[in-house]
Amino acid sequence: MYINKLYLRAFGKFVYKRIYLGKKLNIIYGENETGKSTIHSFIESVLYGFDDANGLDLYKKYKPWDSNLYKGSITIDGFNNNKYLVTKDFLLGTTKIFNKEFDDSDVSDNLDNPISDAENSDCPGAYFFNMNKTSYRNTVSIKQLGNKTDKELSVEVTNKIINLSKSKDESISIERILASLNRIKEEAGSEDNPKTLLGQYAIRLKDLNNTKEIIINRNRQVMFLSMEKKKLMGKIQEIGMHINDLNKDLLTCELLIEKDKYTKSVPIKAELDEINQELSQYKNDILKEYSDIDFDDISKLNIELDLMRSKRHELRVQKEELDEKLKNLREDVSNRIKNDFDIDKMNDNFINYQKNNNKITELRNKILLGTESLKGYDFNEINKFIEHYEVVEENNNKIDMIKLLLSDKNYDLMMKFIKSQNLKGFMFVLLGTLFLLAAGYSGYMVYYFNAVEYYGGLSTILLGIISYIMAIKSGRRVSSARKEIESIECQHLDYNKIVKELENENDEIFKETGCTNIEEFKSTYEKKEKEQNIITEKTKLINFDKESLDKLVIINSNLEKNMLNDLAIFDILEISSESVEKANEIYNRKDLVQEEILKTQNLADEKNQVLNIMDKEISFEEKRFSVILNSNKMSSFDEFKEIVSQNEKIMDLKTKKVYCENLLSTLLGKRSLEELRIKTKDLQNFDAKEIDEKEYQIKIFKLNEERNQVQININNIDKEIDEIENTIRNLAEVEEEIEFYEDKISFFKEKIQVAKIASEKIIEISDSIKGDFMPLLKKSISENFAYVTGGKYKEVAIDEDMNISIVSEDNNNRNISIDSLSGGTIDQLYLSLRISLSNILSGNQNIPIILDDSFVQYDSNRLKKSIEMLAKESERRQVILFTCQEREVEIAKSMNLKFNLIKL
Amino acid sequence: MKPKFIHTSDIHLGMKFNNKNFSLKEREKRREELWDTFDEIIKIVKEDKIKYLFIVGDMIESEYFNFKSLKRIIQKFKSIEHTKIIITCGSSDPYNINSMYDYVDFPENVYLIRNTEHVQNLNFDEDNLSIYSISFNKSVDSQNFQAVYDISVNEEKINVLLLYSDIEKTGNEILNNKLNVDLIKNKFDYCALGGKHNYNKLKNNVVYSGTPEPISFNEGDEHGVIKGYLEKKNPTFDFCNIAKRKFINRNIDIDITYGYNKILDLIKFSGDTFSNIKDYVRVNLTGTVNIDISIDEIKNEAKQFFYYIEFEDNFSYKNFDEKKYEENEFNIVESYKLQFENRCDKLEREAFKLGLDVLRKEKVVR
Repeated sequence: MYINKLYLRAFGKFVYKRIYLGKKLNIIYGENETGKSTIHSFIESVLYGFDDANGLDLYKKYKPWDSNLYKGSITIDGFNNNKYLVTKDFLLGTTKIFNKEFDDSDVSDNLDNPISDAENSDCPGAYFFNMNKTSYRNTVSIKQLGNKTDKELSVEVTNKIINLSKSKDESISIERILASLNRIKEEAGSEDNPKTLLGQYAIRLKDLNNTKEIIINRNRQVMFLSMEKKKLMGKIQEIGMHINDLNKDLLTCELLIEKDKYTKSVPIKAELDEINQELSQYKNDILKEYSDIDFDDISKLNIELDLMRSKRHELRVQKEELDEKLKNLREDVSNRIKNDFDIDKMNDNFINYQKNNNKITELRNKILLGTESLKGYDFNEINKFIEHYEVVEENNNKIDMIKLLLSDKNYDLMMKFIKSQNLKGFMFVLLGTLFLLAAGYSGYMVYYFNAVEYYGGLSTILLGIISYIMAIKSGRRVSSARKEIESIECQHLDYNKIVKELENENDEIFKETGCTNIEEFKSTYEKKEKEQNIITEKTKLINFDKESLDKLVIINSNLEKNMLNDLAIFDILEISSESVEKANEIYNRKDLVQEEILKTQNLADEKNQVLNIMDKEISFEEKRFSVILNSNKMSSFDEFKEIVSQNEKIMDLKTKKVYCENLLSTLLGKRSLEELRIKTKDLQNFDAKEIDEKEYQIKIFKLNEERNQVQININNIDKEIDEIENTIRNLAEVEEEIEFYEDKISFFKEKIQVAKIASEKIIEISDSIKGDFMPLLKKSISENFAYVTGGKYKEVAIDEDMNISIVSEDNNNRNISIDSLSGGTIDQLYLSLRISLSNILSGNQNIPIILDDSFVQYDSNRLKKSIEMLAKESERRQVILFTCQEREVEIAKSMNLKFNLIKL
Repeated sequence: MKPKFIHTSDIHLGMKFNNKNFSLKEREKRREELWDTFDEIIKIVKEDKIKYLFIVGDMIESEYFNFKSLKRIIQKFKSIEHTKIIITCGSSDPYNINSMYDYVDFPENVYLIRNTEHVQNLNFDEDNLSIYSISFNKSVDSQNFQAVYDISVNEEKINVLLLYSDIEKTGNEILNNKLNVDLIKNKFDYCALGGKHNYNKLKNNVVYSGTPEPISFNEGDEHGVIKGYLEKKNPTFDFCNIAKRKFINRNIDIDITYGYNKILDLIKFSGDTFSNIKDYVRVNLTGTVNIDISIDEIKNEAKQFFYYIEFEDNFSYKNFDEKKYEENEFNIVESYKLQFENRCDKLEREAFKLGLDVLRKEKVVR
């Protein structure tokens, strides 16, 4: 049986991809990402589908992204000597197997006769290879051993053979499984071993059962105590009844007493009613609330206040008298004298004032005499003459000055200048004319005779022109000098006129003063000047006296003013010796008055102080008085007094009332008189017997004592019950915990049992595999190993203890340990193992084997041996080798092996 | 004014939990939750000013109860002094010589039914109410229902029967004289029954209140108390759900084609999410599971989505690839699978699971 053709209609990256495989060795070569794994997965998925755990992921992985289809087919030849086509539509999830001859080019259209075995058609792999997907993966699809050392390889292959021999699965070790199950048992342990879980639980359970027993006993104890308590409570009830009986007898006795009390109570009640009647006149029990202490205080205070007020009045009168005296003293003139007032100064001023008055009189007389002596002089005439003299003298000076100015020195100089300039001008005109003539001659000579030497003569033109210019300048100077001479002449005329006017004025003054000439005029002037000096001296003396007089008048006026001011302090308005004396007398009085004022003031202050204190005290007491009134809500002391007296009356009544009520209360107790009346009205009907009340009361007392004692016992029982209940755990909790641990124990026991059953079953199955499967495997491996090694090794031996050895023909059937085999031989053994499994599972159908990049890690030597081995095996079955390296192809070629090469 | 009442029963305070799958902590927590629910009933009584509280049996689990806890109950009863509490004893708190009820002082508003052989009558004249009840005594083989049938009631009054009939609790030994509802329905205006853990309205006036807080997966979804008004011939009442948690049973049928995640999703989304994080859920797994799928792993994974989840395994394992190849029960795993096929024994099933698990791991490790 071999896979003939793969048709990937749409699968992964392949569309319409056909791959034809040979019956023997096929090498599918393609570099990475060329689709080797896709083709490998295609074979598996067509044969077994995508139904396992990773199926969905693989289904998605290979679903073509650029095609609406997702299907393909595989042609299998040689199965039951027939050719079969397996088609699979992954989208629809349909698989069909056909066994008729068909046209390769039309595989998908003309298939109308699928095999009717629906069960098999779902899983063609199982149909053709007779194995499930897991087995397929473990057998048909061979993974090679890793690139390990020979020893590691031998251990791995040995383990695989042992595992297969015991579990039919090379990866499942029965020893490890049994160890795992045993571990579960060991972990649980046993109840006898306190180090294990079960042992711990058993101890805890024992403790809990003890606790439970204690709780039950304690609860029983509580119940007994409760019963005891109930009994005691019954006793209390019994005592109570006995006490009641005794009380009943006492009651009769008490009624007699009650009757007596009633009789006594009636008059008291009447009196009480009377008091109540009287009290009812007052609206309230107390007219107004007040404090007795306050009343005592306010009464005392009232008296004190009266005393204080009278004392204050006396003090006020004394104070007023002192104030009057003080006022008089303060109003005394001497008081107005300031402390810095200087009486001596005033007295000195008065003496000076008198002296000055005498001096003033003297000066006035002197001035009068001086003024009389000046009356003989004409001041105006003397002054006028002196003024005239001064005018004449000034005019003479002016005339002298003008005469000096009229000298002819300048005029002469100017005339000389004009003459010299006229001469110069003539000389320059003449010289210029000569030069021009010389130039004219030279020009003539040059022009008519072309005499070169005359060219220099032409330059005299320039000299001629310069001479003319100089002549013009001299002319101009002469002209301006003449204008100056004219101006000087005009000025002379003006000066002469002024001199004449001044001489005329002098003449007129002479005429006026009556002088005929200047000499007379001068001598008159000297006389007049002497007179003027005498007058001036006299006037100066008079003026000096006047000034002295004025100064004295001013000084005296100031003194007078000061004196008047000073005297005004003393109420004196005139300056006289008497008034000054009077002022001195007042001044001398001042200190005495001051002293008196001080004394009186001190007295007044003292009185005032006492008064203030008194006022304050009175004010304080008045306030206190007012506060007491307010606090007692009284408007006046009289009202207070009135209310107090009335309240005292009410209080008296109340005291009486209380007294009566107490009497009644003592007699009646909590009952009313009416109740007592009703209670005792039928006393005559009672069969009253005389009893010893005291004895009864003692009995009742004793019974009460007994009852209390019983109650104490009950309380003690309650306490004991509380203590017990507080010290024990809740029974429900304990029982729950017991159940919990019992459950745990049974759970672990069950777990042990379960692990035991599982172990037994696994051992049973393993033994069965060992018995049935191992001989088959051994035989098959031996055959295959002999075949792949070309008969070098005859047999693979596995003994009872699962020791594996190889029987070599070369060494006289000697057993060789697997450890001593080379890596290549172990590879052959491994391949033999896989082929054997394949044969066993497929029922010796020689189903194909597929190797996917199995030799990547092999070195050349090992690879060569493996290829050689595969080539040999391919004589018996189809071998499909996927590889990404060209080494396999090259080696196969070098070995001249026949193989089908498919390049992707 | 019509008197308000609450009818409850089977609170089972202090009980022991027998669910093996509950952790010890969970049991303790649940026990405390029963107290919380009891407190909730007291709270409702207070808030709604309930006049009568009927506790028809099994208020406590006497076997595991102590006086300290009983005092806790008494304190609660004292806090509702205006409510008259009538307590009938049930099979978990039978009234006999060992009854703890007899050794404590209940407050005056508590009326304990002490009669176990004859019907006890309580009259509350202010509401014209007459209550009849009989307590359960374990020493008596069966309850004396005949005594109930024989009662002659005052037709002028509102007649209420409080009766504990322990049919459910006794399980296999079902009582011989089963309560005949027809014989009591016309005699009483309201029959408050206890002893069954599920709410059940047998007639318009004959009702099992059920337990206010469920305690096992055998009990239905709704749990609470009955609240209403007592009236001659016409009592009106409603069921009030007060349970903190529910015990929910779910069934998941697994097909052999289901993968790991599908089965996990089926469990995860089997109920509403809020319920999953609050209630106790038991999932009954039925159907066929692919032998290659580890249900234990799924169960562990599923636990994180639930407050509490437990499983009941009623499914069978099957090899998805069921084809048998002639002489090709190739490796030990396949042979092992074949060995256990169709084995019903629990131990063998467990052994199969364990062995397969070990074999698979061995295969993976290798």
